[in-house]
Amino acid sequence: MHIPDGLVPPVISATGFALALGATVPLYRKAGLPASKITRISLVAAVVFVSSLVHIPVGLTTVHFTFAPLAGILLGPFSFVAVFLAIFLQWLLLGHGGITTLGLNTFAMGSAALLSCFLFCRISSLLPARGKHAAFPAVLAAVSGALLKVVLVGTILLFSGFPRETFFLLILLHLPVILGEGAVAGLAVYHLSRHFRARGEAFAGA
Amino acid sequence: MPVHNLRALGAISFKIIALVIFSFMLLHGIFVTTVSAHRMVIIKGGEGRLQVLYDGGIPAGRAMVTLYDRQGNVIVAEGPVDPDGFFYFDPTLDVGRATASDGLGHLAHFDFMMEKKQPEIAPETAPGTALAEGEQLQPQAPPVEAEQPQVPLTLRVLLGLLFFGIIGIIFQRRKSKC
Repeated sequence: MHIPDGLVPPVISATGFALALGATVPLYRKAGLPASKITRISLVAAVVFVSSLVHIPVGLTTVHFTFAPLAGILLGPFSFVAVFLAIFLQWLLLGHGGITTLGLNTFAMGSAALLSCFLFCRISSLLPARGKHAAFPAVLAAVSGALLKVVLVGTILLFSGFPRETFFLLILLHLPVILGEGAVAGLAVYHLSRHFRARGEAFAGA
Repeated sequence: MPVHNLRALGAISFKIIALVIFSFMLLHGIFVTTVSAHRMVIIKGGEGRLQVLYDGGIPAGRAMVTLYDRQGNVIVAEGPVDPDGFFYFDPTLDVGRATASDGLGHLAHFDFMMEKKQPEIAPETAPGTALAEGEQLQPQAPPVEAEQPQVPLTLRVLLGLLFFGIIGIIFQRRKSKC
């Protein structure tokens, strides 16, 4: 989910921008924005952009996918750029999220992507990535990343004055999406690894 | 590609990105309507009636609606919507703005002073109340049409995809030339 304008105090919004910049600037300084990665970043950002249109009615509300964990697995640290661009265009063209909460939303989704990338690499290195097993690290990583995102959004809402019940309700309502993110990432990585194996290469994510 | 070329490319891409962001900021007024928020919108359904919906027309049954006066300071009415997302209020109230929150981070606004002329669709019920469970609108009200944004959703989505597609194609072609 996206945090809209007018929901969080200005201090928290400013903190969101600081955190998002704090994560992006060191990355840009270290790795730059290699032209060779931009095509892949664009494609993944497009997927993240349209993901919010896939929503599921749960109870009296709706929840939607973000595909940020998948972006993390496919792009690694560069997923932060993809997520930022996607969220910016979602606000601009679809009215989702807000300009004052762009930093918070980028930080929440970017953190989910980074955690997924980290876990995917770690778990993949421990398991034999062959056949169906290739999907297992992706599922675990994506579920963890999606859960982190909801926890971060819930925490932001808690700091903005929402009751504690909101936090737990958010996690409960997002369970279908969290599991769905895992399933989508697992399927994507499974098919990508098969595709790469057919070409005699190994799929190593980002 | 040599490192210095990559650095130059980085500087250029920053300028391009800044230009693109500035252009989009200008277009923001065209594409983002005042009533749209994070996946929740308020629709005016006739005098004294509002409906709170999520994107796709799903009623926001958890929403609480708050009505403010024209100065935006004083709350003139407040209450939950019914399971179909409807909120009824006294049409004689001097309402300037309405906000709806479902308590889960979804927020929507409606500005009565900027509203467009919309078709009358609802017979009135008791002001300030939601319909009782199982109660039907009599006579049958036509379905509430979600407010049409200035640019259709499909077109806006395509525009976003086009943006990413063009960037991808440009850099793919550059990559193949290197």
